[in-house]
Amino acid sequence: MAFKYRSNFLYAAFGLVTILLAIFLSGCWDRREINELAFLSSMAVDLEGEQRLLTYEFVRPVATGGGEKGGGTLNHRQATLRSGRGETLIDAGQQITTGLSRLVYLAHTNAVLVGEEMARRGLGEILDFVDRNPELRRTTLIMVTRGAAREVLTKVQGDIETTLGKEIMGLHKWVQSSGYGFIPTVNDVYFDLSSETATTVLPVVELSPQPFPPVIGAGTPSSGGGSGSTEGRVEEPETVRTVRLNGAGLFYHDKLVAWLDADQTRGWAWVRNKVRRAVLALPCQENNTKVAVDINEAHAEVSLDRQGEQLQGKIKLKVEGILLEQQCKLDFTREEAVKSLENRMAAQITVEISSALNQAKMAGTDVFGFGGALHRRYPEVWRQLEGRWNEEFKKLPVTVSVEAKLRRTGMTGRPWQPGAR
Amino acid sequence: MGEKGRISLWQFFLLVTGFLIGTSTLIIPVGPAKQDAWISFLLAGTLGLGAAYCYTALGRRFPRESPLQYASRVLGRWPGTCFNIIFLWYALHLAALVLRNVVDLYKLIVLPQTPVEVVAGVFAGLAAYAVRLGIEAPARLGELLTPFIIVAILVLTALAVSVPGLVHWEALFPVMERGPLPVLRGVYPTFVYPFGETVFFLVLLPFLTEPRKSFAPFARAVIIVTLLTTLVLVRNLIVLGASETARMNYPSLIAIQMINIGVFLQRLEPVIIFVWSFTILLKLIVVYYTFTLGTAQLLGLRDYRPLVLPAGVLLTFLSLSLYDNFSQMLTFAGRVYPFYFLPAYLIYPVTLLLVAKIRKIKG
Repeated sequence: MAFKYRSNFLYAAFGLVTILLAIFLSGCWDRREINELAFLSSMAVDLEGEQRLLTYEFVRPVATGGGEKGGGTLNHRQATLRSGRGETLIDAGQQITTGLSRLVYLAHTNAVLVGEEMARRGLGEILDFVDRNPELRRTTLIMVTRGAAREVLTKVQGDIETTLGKEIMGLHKWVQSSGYGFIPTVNDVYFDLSSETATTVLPVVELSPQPFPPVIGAGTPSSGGGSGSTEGRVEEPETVRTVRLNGAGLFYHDKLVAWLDADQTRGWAWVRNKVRRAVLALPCQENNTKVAVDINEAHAEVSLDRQGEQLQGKIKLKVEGILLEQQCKLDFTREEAVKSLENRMAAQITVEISSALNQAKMAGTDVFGFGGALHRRYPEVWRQLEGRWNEEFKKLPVTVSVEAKLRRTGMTGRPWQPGAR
Repeated sequence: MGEKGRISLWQFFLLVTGFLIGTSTLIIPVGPAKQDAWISFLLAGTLGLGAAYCYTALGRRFPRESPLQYASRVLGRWPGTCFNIIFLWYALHLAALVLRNVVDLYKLIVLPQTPVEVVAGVFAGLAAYAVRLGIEAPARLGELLTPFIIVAILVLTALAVSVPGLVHWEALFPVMERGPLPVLRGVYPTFVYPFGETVFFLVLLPFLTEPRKSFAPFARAVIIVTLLTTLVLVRNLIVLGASETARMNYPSLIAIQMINIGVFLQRLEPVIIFVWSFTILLKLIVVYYTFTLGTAQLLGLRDYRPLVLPAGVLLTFLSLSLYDNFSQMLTFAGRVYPFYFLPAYLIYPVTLLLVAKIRKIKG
């Protein structure tokens, strides 16, 4: 009996301790309430003299459900901007917190925009800022702007996503379907910059004004006249500033040294296997008409050969496409027409690649990975050239060979003929 | 000595596996071998098999005794006691180091605002509870969770490799560009940590249901962990690159952060934090248990359980005062530890084995 009593007491004591532990060990120190956090979506980093100018874009919290209907406001950017200045990035970030009613929460940061001046000074501190902070992740996307990054971040309006960070996430996912670029993560940039050639390519993001349908009942003052009835008011389409990718910046070590235009960017992307789809508009040999080929397979190999002392770079690219648009009347069910089109496909891609290659050579940035190919193939040669590879690369002869295939002609074969019956 | 539990060979296998995964997938030294670090690790695993053979040979010779008990008989009373005290010091020190590893991880990533004393206290308290329950409790814990841990690591690795554009196989090449020497130089530290640390299983061997058959499960655990860790190492190298893997404090964590499949399968690092929390806890329990039971055996106590709480307090405070900062930890782990640990994993068992053989002493 006494034993039983003792065991009950033990149970009670155990239960009490458990409850107390549950109360005291629930992690009070690291408790975070969602409604007390300011979620960072993207940020822009600029250099102003010796000061770092940091602009944060936060997700502006909206009351979901039962919002105003037809107001169009929900399609607009739901972002709050704050900026701060400081000697270092985190210092500038601290300045932002002095004017914020919530705790800055960095773990959902999608993108970092780097201003041109900052990029010329060096990405190092930005990469380090992202890498060292346990809240920021290496999946953060990074790109450059021409001029100040702040301009893009503050001026963009956007009409599909609610923040620029989200827009860029979407761009990152789909841009490779055009072939005109690639948005790398911080990890990609670290990988590139710590590889043999220590170069990388960051896409340029810029503002792009697009028409926006006028909102019913909210006409612009110039077109509307007096308030009151919406009838009879003429509303002009408005302009909304969105972002788009246009070209890229070439980086040697962590510094911006040159630009690539959009076509050159695609030339680079072909070689680095960053093109998932691309459209080529090619002449059709018939009074200025064109055909469009949709490339949906592309695979490139970069290699290096050595004959005696002479190094020879080689880019081999295999692409496959499908005929998607035809202005002329050429019959692409005929073998010869296909062959000649394939030659023109290869020629145009070669032009894009050569143009990118020349630009990279001029800047002395081996963004195609010849250095790595050399290191893997001839480690002893690489060790001799390692220190001056960017100079060697400028002199490196490179042959570009493109093998293009037109596999299919879409849903139809021969072109349409009027009155063919 | 107050331990009446028995563990099966299967439980022993999973216990060694969990112990070895312990901190080794958390911190894998890349060292001088750079992109060939995985070769170093494979070779270290082979040496680990040798260590396993040596430890289980002792276990076979003294099937129902712990080294703390037979050392005096083998080496003589005073030398044996000296050896035992040194051995126990290493157990205490390793337990403190292991606890510190998990505390550092939590302080940096999981609970930055929480005082380290609380994190350390919670882990040490959990471990103390398990140690007090006897060897069967941790053995069952290992049996329950180690299979999931292995599956989790394999799945996370498969996911990382299948992220489009994330892996760069070329980061593994050229293989052994500077000849085999850097690779060989990388073998020794990766052998001591984690394989040399399995020496503390000497104290657990007597509790096996069939102590004479301990080599097979031990070797299987070493092989599995060698392959698993090599896989993890290769994954880190192809996702992050050799120099970045070497530079980072928690390369596996970053490699797993990079998993992003179709935008919905992402932010999986809590999984790996769980894996580490569990395996490090398991390792802590084993070493902690070794220390308390060993001390009881050394002092000739009938029961080891009164020592559990004092030992826990001791190792908690030792772990918090082991080093002041990260750079001390790096220096210690990288330069000092492989040689500092030599008496425990090599001199102690090998001396015992050789002297016992020469003097023909058996259990």
